[in-house]
Amino acid sequence: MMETALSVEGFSVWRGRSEIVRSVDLEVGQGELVCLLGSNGAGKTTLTEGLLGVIPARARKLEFHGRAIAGLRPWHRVRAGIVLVPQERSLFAGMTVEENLLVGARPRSQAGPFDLAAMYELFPRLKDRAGQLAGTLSGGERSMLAIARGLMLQPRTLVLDEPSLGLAPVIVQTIMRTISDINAAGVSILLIEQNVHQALRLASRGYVLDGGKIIAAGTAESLLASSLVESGYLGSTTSTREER
Amino acid sequence: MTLLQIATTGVLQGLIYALIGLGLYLIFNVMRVVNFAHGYFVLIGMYGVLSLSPRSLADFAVALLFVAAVAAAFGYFVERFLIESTLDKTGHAQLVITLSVGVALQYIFQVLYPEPYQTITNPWPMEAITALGVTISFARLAAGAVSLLLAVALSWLIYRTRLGVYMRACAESINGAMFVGVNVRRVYRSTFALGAAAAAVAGGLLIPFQPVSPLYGLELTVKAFIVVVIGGSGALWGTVAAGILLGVAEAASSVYISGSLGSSVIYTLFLLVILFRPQGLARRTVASA
Repeated sequence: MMETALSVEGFSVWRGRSEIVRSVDLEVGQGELVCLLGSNGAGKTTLTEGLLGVIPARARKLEFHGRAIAGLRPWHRVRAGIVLVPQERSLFAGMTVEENLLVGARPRSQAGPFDLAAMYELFPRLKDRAGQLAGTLSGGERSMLAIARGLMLQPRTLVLDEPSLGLAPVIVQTIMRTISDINAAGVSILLIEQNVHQALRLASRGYVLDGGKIIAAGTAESLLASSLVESGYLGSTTSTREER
Repeated sequence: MTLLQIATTGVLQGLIYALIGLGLYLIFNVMRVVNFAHGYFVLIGMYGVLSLSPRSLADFAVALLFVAAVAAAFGYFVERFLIESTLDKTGHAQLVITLSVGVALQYIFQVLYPEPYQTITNPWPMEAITALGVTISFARLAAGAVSLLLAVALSWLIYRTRLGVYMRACAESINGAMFVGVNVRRVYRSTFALGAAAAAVAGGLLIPFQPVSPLYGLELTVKAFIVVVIGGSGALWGTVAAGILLGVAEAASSVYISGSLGSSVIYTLFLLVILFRPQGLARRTVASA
Protein backbone atom coordinates (compact mmCIF):
# COMPACT_ATOMS: atom_id res chain seq x y z
CA MET A 1 0.00 0.00 0.00
CA MET A 2 1.37 3.35 -1.10
CA GLU A 3 1.73 6.07 1.54
CA THR A 4 -0.70 8.91 1.04
CA ALA A 5 0.66 12.38 0.43
CA LEU A 6 -2.57 14.32 0.14
CA SER A 7 -5.88 12.99 1.34
CA VAL A 8 -9.06 15.02 0.92
CA GLU A 9 -12.62 14.02 1.80
CA GLY A 10 -15.83 16.02 1.62
CA PHE A 11 -13.95 19.12 0.54
CA SER A 12 -16.00 22.25 -0.24
CA VAL A 13 -14.64 25.66 -1.22
CA TRP A 14 -16.40 29.00 -1.32
CA ARG A 15 -15.84 32.11 -3.34
CA GLY A 16 -17.76 34.84 -1.61
CA ARG A 17 -21.10 33.25 -0.77
CA SER A 18 -21.17 30.67 -3.53
CA GLU A 19 -19.97 27.16 -2.98
CA ILE A 20 -17.85 26.50 -6.05
CA VAL A 21 -16.28 23.16 -5.11
CA ARG A 22 -18.73 20.71 -3.57
CA SER A 23 -17.79 17.80 -1.39
CA VAL A 24 -14.81 16.57 -3.38
CA ASP A 25 -12.88 13.41 -2.47
CA LEU A 26 -9.36 13.26 -3.78
CA GLU A 27 -6.13 11.47 -3.01
CA VAL A 28 -2.54 11.75 -4.15
CA GLY A 29 -0.17 8.96 -3.16
CA GLN A 30 3.45 9.54 -2.20
CA GLY A 31 5.43 9.88 -5.42
CA GLU A 32 2.33 9.59 -7.56
CA LEU A 33 1.36 11.84 -10.48
CA VAL A 34 -2.38 12.40 -10.46
CA CYS A 35 -4.25 14.66 -12.81
CA LEU A 36 -7.40 16.66 -12.28
CA LEU A 37 -9.27 17.40 -15.49
CA GLY A 38 -12.09 19.78 -16.14
CA SER A 39 -13.27 22.51 -18.43
CA ASN A 40 -13.20 26.24 -17.78
CA GLY A 41 -15.37 27.07 -14.81
CA ALA A 42 -15.35 23.55 -13.42
CA GLY A 43 -13.80 24.85 -10.20
CA LYS A 44 -10.21 23.64 -10.63
CA THR A 45 -8.48 26.87 -9.65
CA THR A 46 -10.89 27.37 -6.76
CA LEU A 47 -10.02 23.88 -5.56
CA THR A 48 -6.28 24.66 -5.57
CA GLU A 49 -6.77 27.91 -3.67
CA GLY A 50 -8.89 26.06 -1.13
CA LEU A 51 -6.15 23.44 -0.76
CA LEU A 52 -3.63 26.17 0.02
CA GLY A 53 -6.03 27.89 2.42
CA VAL A 54 -6.19 31.17 0.54
CA ILE A 55 -9.99 31.15 0.38
CA PRO A 56 -12.53 29.66 2.81
CA ALA A 57 -12.93 25.89 2.63
CA ARG A 58 -14.40 23.14 4.71
CA ALA A 59 -13.49 19.46 4.68
CA ARG A 60 -14.39 16.28 6.50
CA LYS A 61 -10.76 15.37 6.12
CA LEU A 62 -7.81 17.39 4.83
CA GLU A 63 -4.54 15.63 5.53
CA PHE A 64 -1.04 16.01 4.20
CA HIS A 65 1.23 13.08 4.97
CA GLY A 66 -1.10 12.10 7.79
CA ARG A 67 -1.15 15.57 9.32
CA ALA A 68 -4.37 17.61 9.46
CA ILE A 69 -3.66 20.90 7.67
CA ALA A 70 -7.11 22.51 7.69
CA GLY A 71 -6.12 24.84 10.54
CA LEU A 72 -2.89 26.00 8.92
CA ARG A 73 -2.36 29.35 7.22
CA PRO A 74 -1.28 29.24 3.54
CA TRP A 75 2.39 29.92 4.35
CA HIS A 76 2.45 27.15 6.94
CA ARG A 77 0.96 24.71 4.42
CA VAL A 78 3.70 25.72 2.00
CA ARG A 79 6.36 25.16 4.63
CA ALA A 80 4.80 21.76 5.36
CA GLY A 81 5.59 20.87 1.75
CA ILE A 82 2.44 21.44 -0.30
CA VAL A 83 3.35 23.93 -2.99
CA LEU A 84 1.08 25.49 -5.61
CA VAL A 85 2.15 26.74 -9.00
CA PRO A 86 -0.88 28.90 -9.72
CA GLN A 87 -2.56 29.35 -13.05
CA GLU A 88 -1.97 33.11 -13.05
CA ARG A 89 1.70 32.37 -12.09
CA SER A 90 1.72 35.24 -9.55
CA LEU A 91 5.34 36.06 -10.36
CA PHE A 92 7.11 39.07 -8.86
CA ALA A 93 7.13 41.04 -12.10
CA GLY A 94 9.48 43.78 -10.92
CA MET A 95 12.11 41.37 -9.62
CA THR A 96 14.68 39.52 -11.69
CA VAL A 97 14.30 35.84 -12.48
CA GLU A 98 16.93 34.96 -9.90
CA GLU A 99 15.32 37.13 -7.21
CA ASN A 100 12.00 35.39 -7.90
CA LEU A 101 13.66 32.03 -7.32
CA LEU A 102 15.30 33.14 -4.09
CA VAL A 103 12.36 34.82 -2.30
CA GLY A 104 11.06 31.62 -0.75
CA ALA A 105 14.29 29.63 -0.80
CA ARG A 106 15.15 27.94 2.46
CA PRO A 107 18.37 28.77 4.26
CA ARG A 108 21.24 26.63 3.07
CA SER A 109 21.07 24.41 6.16
CA GLN A 110 17.56 23.26 5.24
CA ALA A 111 18.07 23.14 1.50
CA GLY A 112 16.99 20.08 -0.41
CA PRO A 113 17.85 18.85 -3.87
CA PHE A 114 16.24 21.79 -5.68
CA ASP A 115 18.69 24.67 -5.49
CA LEU A 116 19.50 27.44 -7.92
CA ALA A 117 22.02 25.35 -9.86
CA ALA A 118 19.54 22.49 -10.20
CA MET A 119 16.86 24.88 -11.46
CA TYR A 120 19.17 26.33 -14.09
CA GLU A 121 20.02 22.81 -15.19
CA LEU A 122 16.35 21.87 -15.39
CA PHE A 123 15.43 25.10 -17.21
CA PRO A 124 18.46 26.42 -19.13
CA ARG A 125 16.28 29.22 -20.50
CA LEU A 126 15.98 30.64 -16.98
CA LYS A 127 19.74 30.70 -16.64
CA ASP A 128 20.00 32.85 -19.77
CA ARG A 129 17.35 35.15 -18.34
CA ALA A 130 18.63 35.17 -14.72
CA GLY A 131 19.15 38.94 -14.53
CA GLN A 132 16.04 39.87 -16.50
CA LEU A 133 12.85 41.16 -14.87
CA ALA A 134 10.19 38.47 -14.58
CA GLY A 135 7.60 40.80 -16.09
CA THR A 136 9.46 40.77 -19.40
CA LEU A 137 9.42 36.98 -19.88
CA SER A 138 7.46 35.10 -22.53
CA GLY A 139 4.54 32.88 -21.56
CA GLY A 140 6.63 29.70 -21.64
CA GLU A 141 9.40 31.26 -19.59
CA ARG A 142 6.88 32.52 -17.06
CA SER A 143 5.47 29.05 -16.65
CA MET A 144 8.98 27.63 -16.24
CA LEU A 145 9.87 30.29 -13.67
CA ALA A 146 6.69 29.61 -11.71
CA ILE A 147 7.51 25.89 -11.59
CA ALA A 148 11.15 26.52 -10.66
CA ARG A 149 10.13 29.01 -7.98
CA GLY A 150 7.83 26.36 -6.51
CA LEU A 151 10.57 23.73 -6.60
CA MET A 152 12.93 26.02 -4.70
CA LEU A 153 10.58 25.51 -1.73
CA GLN A 154 11.54 21.80 -1.68
CA PRO A 155 7.96 20.56 -2.10
CA ARG A 156 6.79 17.10 -1.14
CA THR A 157 3.73 17.62 -3.30
CA LEU A 158 3.55 20.02 -6.19
CA VAL A 159 0.12 21.25 -7.34
CA LEU A 160 0.40 22.52 -10.90
CA ASP A 161 -2.54 24.58 -12.14
CA GLU A 162 -2.57 24.47 -15.95
CA PRO A 163 1.18 24.86 -16.49
CA SER A 164 0.69 24.56 -20.26
CA LEU A 165 -2.08 27.14 -20.55
CA GLY A 166 -1.66 29.34 -23.60
CA LEU A 167 1.70 27.90 -24.64
CA ALA A 168 2.93 26.73 -28.04
CA PRO A 169 2.83 22.94 -28.51
CA VAL A 170 6.60 22.58 -28.60
CA ILE A 171 6.93 24.37 -25.24
CA VAL A 172 4.08 22.31 -23.81
CA GLN A 173 6.13 19.21 -24.71
CA THR A 174 9.16 20.57 -22.86
CA ILE A 175 7.14 21.46 -19.78
CA MET A 176 5.35 18.11 -19.68
CA ARG A 177 8.67 16.30 -19.94
CA THR A 178 10.05 18.38 -17.08
CA ILE A 179 7.00 17.62 -14.93
CA SER A 180 7.62 13.96 -15.54
CA ASP A 181 11.28 14.41 -14.49
CA ILE A 182 10.26 16.23 -11.31
CA ASN A 183 7.91 13.40 -10.46
CA ALA A 184 10.68 10.89 -11.14
CA ALA A 185 12.81 12.78 -8.61
CA GLY A 186 10.28 11.80 -5.95
CA VAL A 187 7.89 14.74 -5.81
CA SER A 188 4.20 13.84 -5.74
CA ILE A 189 2.25 15.84 -8.30
CA LEU A 190 -1.34 16.94 -8.70
CA LEU A 191 -1.52 18.16 -12.28
CA ILE A 192 -4.51 20.27 -13.22
CA GLU A 193 -5.10 20.38 -16.94
CA GLN A 194 -7.56 20.97 -19.71
CA ASN A 195 -5.12 19.29 -22.04
CA VAL A 196 -6.56 15.86 -21.31
CA HIS A 197 -4.46 13.61 -23.49
CA GLN A 198 -1.17 15.20 -22.50
CA ALA A 199 -2.08 14.95 -18.84
CA LEU A 200 -3.35 11.37 -18.91
CA ARG A 201 -0.23 10.23 -20.74
CA LEU A 202 1.86 11.33 -17.72
CA ALA A 203 -0.52 10.45 -14.90
CA SER A 204 -1.25 7.14 -13.29
CA ARG A 205 -4.69 8.19 -12.16
CA GLY A 206 -7.07 11.02 -12.82
CA TYR A 207 -10.21 12.81 -11.66
CA VAL A 208 -12.71 14.73 -13.75
CA LEU A 209 -14.20 17.81 -12.15
CA ASP A 210 -17.39 19.33 -13.45
CA GLY A 211 -19.64 21.92 -11.85
CA GLY A 212 -17.55 21.68 -8.70
CA LYS A 213 -18.02 17.92 -8.31
CA ILE A 214 -15.93 14.91 -9.18
CA ILE A 215 -17.89 13.18 -11.91
CA ALA A 216 -15.36 10.49 -12.79
CA ALA A 217 -12.22 9.00 -11.32
CA GLY A 218 -9.97 6.14 -12.23
CA THR A 219 -6.73 5.00 -13.78
CA ALA A 220 -5.37 6.95 -16.69
CA GLU A 221 -6.17 4.09 -19.09
CA SER A 222 -9.76 3.79 -17.95
CA LEU A 223 -10.30 7.52 -18.21
CA LEU A 224 -8.75 7.67 -21.67
CA ALA A 225 -11.10 4.93 -22.75
CA SER A 226 -14.13 6.53 -21.20
CA SER A 227 -16.57 8.52 -23.27
CA LEU A 228 -16.71 11.15 -20.51
CA VAL A 229 -13.29 12.38 -21.36
CA GLU A 230 -14.15 12.60 -25.02
CA SER A 231 -17.32 14.56 -24.45
CA GLY A 232 -17.52 15.75 -20.89
CA TYR A 233 -14.36 17.73 -20.35
CA LEU A 234 -14.64 19.91 -23.39
CA GLY A 235 -17.17 22.38 -22.15
CA SER A 236 -20.48 20.60 -22.56
CA THR A 237 -20.88 21.44 -18.91
CA THR A 238 -23.92 22.52 -17.03
CA SER A 239 -21.96 25.20 -15.27
CA THR A 240 -21.63 28.68 -16.72
CA ARG A 241 -19.50 30.03 -13.92
CA GLU A 242 -16.33 31.77 -14.89
CA GLU A 243 -13.19 30.87 -13.06
CA ARG A 244 -11.23 33.79 -11.79
CA MET B 1 17.01 85.80 -0.09
CA THR B 2 19.20 84.18 -2.67
CA LEU B 3 18.06 81.29 -4.81
CA LEU B 4 20.69 79.10 -3.20
CA GLN B 5 19.33 79.96 0.23
CA ILE B 6 15.81 79.01 -0.81
CA ALA B 7 17.02 75.80 -2.43
CA THR B 8 19.02 74.76 0.62
CA THR B 9 16.21 75.44 3.06
CA GLY B 10 13.79 73.62 0.76
CA VAL B 11 15.99 70.57 0.29
CA LEU B 12 16.55 70.18 4.03
CA GLN B 13 12.84 70.48 4.82
CA GLY B 14 12.11 68.21 1.84
CA LEU B 15 14.31 65.45 3.25
CA ILE B 16 12.06 65.35 6.32
CA TYR B 17 9.00 65.15 4.05
CA ALA B 18 10.76 62.35 2.22
CA LEU B 19 11.15 60.38 5.44
CA ILE B 20 7.47 60.89 6.28
CA GLY B 21 6.53 59.96 2.72
CA LEU B 22 8.66 56.80 2.81
CA GLY B 23 6.58 55.47 5.70
CA LEU B 24 3.39 55.99 3.71
CA TYR B 25 5.02 54.62 0.54
CA LEU B 26 5.92 51.38 2.33
CA ILE B 27 2.46 50.89 3.83
CA PHE B 28 0.73 51.67 0.55
CA ASN B 29 2.91 49.54 -1.69
CA VAL B 30 3.17 46.50 0.54
CA MET B 31 -0.40 46.42 1.85
CA ARG B 32 -2.39 48.54 -0.63
CA VAL B 33 -3.71 50.43 2.39
CA VAL B 34 -4.04 54.20 2.22
CA ASN B 35 -3.09 55.31 5.71
CA PHE B 36 -4.99 58.47 6.57
CA ALA B 37 -3.54 58.41 10.08
CA HIS B 38 -0.02 58.93 8.75
CA GLY B 39 0.28 62.63 9.57
CA TYR B 40 -0.93 61.86 13.08
CA PHE B 41 1.86 59.29 13.45
CA VAL B 42 4.19 62.25 12.85
CA LEU B 43 2.40 64.04 15.70
CA ILE B 44 3.13 61.07 17.98
CA GLY B 45 6.80 61.85 17.41
CA MET B 46 6.36 65.61 17.86
CA TYR B 47 4.31 65.40 21.05
CA GLY B 48 6.39 62.48 22.32
CA VAL B 49 9.62 64.46 22.11
CA LEU B 50 7.82 67.55 23.42
CA SER B 51 6.67 65.81 26.58
CA LEU B 52 10.11 64.29 27.20
CA SER B 53 11.53 67.84 26.82
CA PRO B 54 15.13 66.74 26.24
CA ARG B 55 17.77 69.08 27.72
CA SER B 56 20.80 67.79 25.85
CA LEU B 57 21.59 66.28 22.50
CA ALA B 58 21.99 62.87 24.11
CA ASP B 59 18.54 63.19 25.70
CA PHE B 60 17.16 64.21 22.33
CA ALA B 61 18.64 61.13 20.66
CA VAL B 62 17.12 58.88 23.33
CA ALA B 63 13.78 60.68 22.91
CA LEU B 64 13.87 59.98 19.16
CA LEU B 65 14.49 56.28 19.78
CA PHE B 66 11.70 56.27 22.35
CA VAL B 67 9.10 57.84 20.04
CA ALA B 68 10.16 55.48 17.26
CA ALA B 69 9.49 52.53 19.55
CA VAL B 70 6.16 53.91 20.78
CA ALA B 71 4.96 54.66 17.25
CA ALA B 72 6.11 51.25 16.03
CA ALA B 73 4.19 49.53 18.81
CA PHE B 74 1.14 51.69 18.13
CA GLY B 75 1.32 50.99 14.38
CA TYR B 76 1.70 47.29 15.06
CA PHE B 77 -1.43 47.20 17.20
CA VAL B 78 -3.46 49.31 14.77
CA GLU B 79 -2.56 46.88 11.99
CA ARG B 80 -3.00 43.75 14.07
CA PHE B 81 -6.30 44.59 15.73
CA LEU B 82 -8.03 47.08 13.43
CA ILE B 83 -6.81 46.63 9.88
CA GLU B 84 -5.82 42.99 9.52
CA SER B 85 -9.32 41.53 9.70
CA THR B 86 -10.52 43.86 6.93
CA LEU B 87 -7.85 42.95 4.40
CA ASP B 88 -9.50 39.76 3.14
CA LYS B 89 -12.75 41.57 2.51
CA THR B 90 -13.63 43.80 -0.38
CA GLY B 91 -14.56 47.43 0.16
CA HIS B 92 -12.67 50.26 1.73
CA ALA B 93 -12.93 49.63 5.44
CA GLN B 94 -9.23 50.48 5.93
CA LEU B 95 -9.91 53.98 4.69
CA VAL B 96 -12.50 54.60 7.39
CA ILE B 97 -10.40 52.87 10.04
CA THR B 98 -7.19 54.81 9.42
CA LEU B 99 -9.13 58.08 9.17
CA SER B 100 -10.82 57.31 12.50
CA VAL B 101 -7.49 56.49 14.12
CA GLY B 102 -6.20 59.85 12.91
CA VAL B 103 -9.19 61.80 14.21
CA ALA B 104 -9.01 59.94 17.53
CA LEU B 105 -5.32 60.86 17.86
CA GLN B 106 -6.12 64.47 17.06
CA TYR B 107 -8.68 64.69 19.87
CA ILE B 108 -6.40 62.90 22.30
CA PHE B 109 -3.66 65.44 21.58
CA GLN B 110 -6.14 68.30 21.92
CA VAL B 111 -7.10 67.07 25.38
CA LEU B 112 -3.56 66.29 26.53
CA TYR B 113 -1.96 69.42 25.09
CA PRO B 114 -4.56 72.20 25.15
CA GLU B 115 -1.97 74.87 24.49
CA PRO B 116 -1.28 75.11 20.73
CA TYR B 117 2.01 75.75 18.96
CA GLN B 118 4.39 74.39 21.54
CA THR B 119 7.99 73.57 20.81
CA ILE B 120 11.13 72.47 22.69
CA THR B 121 14.37 74.15 23.58
CA ASN B 122 16.69 73.54 20.68
CA PRO B 123 18.82 70.52 21.59
CA TRP B 124 21.25 71.10 18.74
CA PRO B 125 24.18 73.55 18.87
CA MET B 126 22.69 77.04 18.64
CA GLU B 127 24.99 78.49 16.00
CA ALA B 128 24.03 78.81 12.37
CA ILE B 129 26.26 77.68 9.56
CA THR B 130 27.17 80.04 6.76
CA ALA B 131 28.73 78.98 3.50
CA LEU B 132 28.49 80.39 -0.03
CA GLY B 133 26.18 83.09 1.23
CA VAL B 134 23.75 80.55 2.62
CA THR B 135 22.87 80.59 6.30
CA ILE B 136 21.26 77.54 7.83
CA SER B 137 20.51 76.77 11.47
CA PHE B 138 22.27 73.73 12.81
CA ALA B 139 18.93 72.21 13.80
CA ARG B 140 17.61 72.25 10.22
CA LEU B 141 20.86 70.98 8.79
CA ALA B 142 21.00 68.13 11.28
CA ALA B 143 17.32 67.23 10.80
CA GLY B 144 17.83 67.04 7.03
CA ALA B 145 21.01 65.00 7.39
CA VAL B 146 19.48 62.52 9.83
CA SER B 147 16.42 62.13 7.58
CA LEU B 148 18.67 61.39 4.62
CA LEU B 149 20.61 58.88 6.68
CA LEU B 150 17.39 57.14 7.71
CA ALA B 151 16.14 57.12 4.11
CA VAL B 152 19.37 55.37 3.12
CA ALA B 153 18.92 52.92 6.01
CA LEU B 154 15.34 52.17 4.89
CA SER B 155 16.53 51.62 1.36
CA TRP B 156 19.16 49.21 2.64
CA LEU B 157 16.47 47.38 4.62
CA ILE B 158 14.18 47.09 1.60
CA TYR B 159 16.75 46.04 -0.97
CA ARG B 160 19.22 44.11 1.15
CA THR B 161 17.48 42.26 3.97
CA ARG B 162 15.19 39.24 4.20
CA LEU B 163 12.29 41.35 5.51
CA GLY B 164 12.85 43.75 2.62
CA VAL B 165 12.66 40.93 0.08
CA TYR B 166 9.38 39.78 1.65
CA MET B 167 8.04 43.34 1.61
CA ARG B 168 8.90 43.75 -2.06
CA ALA B 169 7.37 40.34 -2.82
CA CYS B 170 4.10 41.39 -1.15
CA ALA B 171 4.16 44.65 -3.10
CA GLU B 172 4.54 42.72 -6.36
CA SER B 173 2.01 39.95 -5.70
CA ILE B 174 0.30 39.04 -2.45
CA ASN B 175 -0.68 35.61 -3.75
CA GLY B 176 2.82 35.04 -5.06
CA ALA B 177 4.24 35.89 -1.64
CA MET B 178 1.86 33.50 0.12
CA PHE B 179 2.58 30.75 -2.38
CA VAL B 180 6.31 30.93 -1.66
CA GLY B 181 5.64 30.63 2.05
CA VAL B 182 5.92 34.25 3.14
CA ASN B 183 4.02 34.93 6.36
CA VAL B 184 2.14 37.81 4.83
CA ARG B 185 0.50 38.93 8.06
CA ARG B 186 3.82 39.23 9.85
CA VAL B 187 5.16 41.30 6.95
CA TYR B 188 2.10 43.58 7.15
CA ARG B 189 2.56 44.17 10.86
CA SER B 190 6.26 44.90 10.46
CA THR B 191 5.55 47.25 7.57
CA PHE B 192 2.96 49.21 9.48
CA ALA B 193 5.23 49.44 12.52
CA LEU B 194 8.15 50.56 10.37
CA GLY B 195 6.08 53.15 8.51
CA ALA B 196 4.73 54.59 11.76
CA ALA B 197 8.23 54.71 13.29
CA ALA B 198 9.62 56.57 10.26
CA ALA B 199 6.83 59.14 10.56
CA ALA B 200 7.36 59.59 14.31
CA VAL B 201 11.12 60.07 14.00
CA ALA B 202 10.52 62.69 11.32
CA GLY B 203 8.15 64.41 13.77
CA GLY B 204 10.81 64.34 16.47
CA LEU B 205 13.29 65.92 14.07
CA LEU B 206 10.77 68.64 13.17
CA ILE B 207 9.80 69.73 16.67
CA PRO B 208 12.91 71.84 17.51
CA PHE B 209 11.96 74.37 14.80
CA GLN B 210 8.35 73.52 13.98
CA PRO B 211 5.78 74.27 16.73
CA VAL B 212 3.17 71.54 16.95
CA SER B 213 -0.61 71.70 17.11
CA PRO B 214 -3.12 68.82 16.87
CA LEU B 215 -4.53 70.13 13.58
CA TYR B 216 -1.11 69.87 11.96
CA GLY B 217 -1.71 66.12 11.51
CA LEU B 218 -4.10 66.50 8.60
CA GLU B 219 -1.76 68.85 6.77
CA LEU B 220 1.06 66.33 7.18
CA THR B 221 -1.12 63.48 5.93
CA VAL B 222 -1.90 65.48 2.81
CA LYS B 223 1.76 66.35 2.29
CA ALA B 224 2.75 62.71 2.67
CA PHE B 225 0.13 61.78 0.06
CA ILE B 226 1.47 64.37 -2.35
CA VAL B 227 4.99 63.00 -1.87
CA VAL B 228 3.91 59.41 -2.48
CA VAL B 229 1.77 60.20 -5.52
CA ILE B 230 4.45 62.39 -7.10
CA GLY B 231 7.11 59.83 -6.21
CA GLY B 232 5.29 56.99 -7.92
CA SER B 233 5.05 53.38 -6.85
CA GLY B 234 8.31 52.34 -8.45
CA ALA B 235 11.72 52.62 -6.84
CA LEU B 236 12.13 54.25 -3.46
CA TRP B 237 14.24 57.12 -4.79
CA GLY B 238 11.13 58.57 -6.45
CA THR B 239 9.59 59.23 -3.05
CA VAL B 240 12.79 60.86 -1.78
CA ALA B 241 12.97 63.06 -4.88
CA ALA B 242 9.31 64.00 -4.48
CA GLY B 243 9.88 64.96 -0.84
CA ILE B 244 12.73 67.25 -1.85
CA LEU B 245 10.62 68.71 -4.65
CA LEU B 246 7.82 69.47 -2.21
CA GLY B 247 10.24 71.10 0.25
CA VAL B 248 11.77 73.32 -2.43
CA ALA B 249 8.38 74.28 -3.88
CA GLU B 250 7.17 75.19 -0.43
CA ALA B 251 10.26 77.26 0.37
CA ALA B 252 10.09 79.08 -2.96
CA SER B 253 6.39 79.83 -2.78
CA SER B 254 6.67 81.15 0.77
CA VAL B 255 9.20 83.69 -0.46
CA TYR B 256 7.72 84.73 -3.77
CA ILE B 257 4.00 84.40 -3.18
CA SER B 258 2.30 86.00 -0.24
CA GLY B 259 0.21 84.29 2.38
CA SER B 260 -2.06 81.36 1.80
CA LEU B 261 -1.76 81.70 -1.96
CA GLY B 262 1.73 80.28 -1.39
CA SER B 263 0.46 76.90 -0.32
CA SER B 264 -1.71 76.71 -3.44
CA VAL B 265 1.53 76.38 -5.42
CA ILE B 266 2.12 72.98 -3.87
CA TYR B 267 -1.31 71.75 -4.87
CA THR B 268 -0.92 73.16 -8.36
CA LEU B 269 2.35 71.28 -8.68
CA PHE B 270 0.56 68.17 -7.48
CA LEU B 271 -2.19 68.51 -10.08
CA LEU B 272 0.35 69.13 -12.83
CA VAL B 273 2.16 65.92 -11.97
CA ILE B 274 -1.12 63.99 -11.97
CA LEU B 275 -1.98 65.46 -15.37
CA PHE B 276 1.33 64.98 -17.12
CA ARG B 277 3.03 62.12 -15.32
CA PRO B 278 0.32 60.17 -13.51
CA GLN B 279 2.65 57.25 -12.90
CA GLY B 280 4.85 59.49 -10.74
CA LEU B 281 8.58 60.12 -10.96
CA ALA B 282 9.62 56.50 -10.47
CA ARG B 283 7.07 54.33 -12.17
CA ARG B 284 6.86 50.61 -11.62
CA THR B 285 9.61 49.02 -13.62
CA VAL B 286 7.19 46.64 -15.28
CA ALA B 287 3.63 47.53 -16.11
CA SER B 288 1.34 44.71 -14.98
CA ALA B 289 2.79 42.18 -17.38
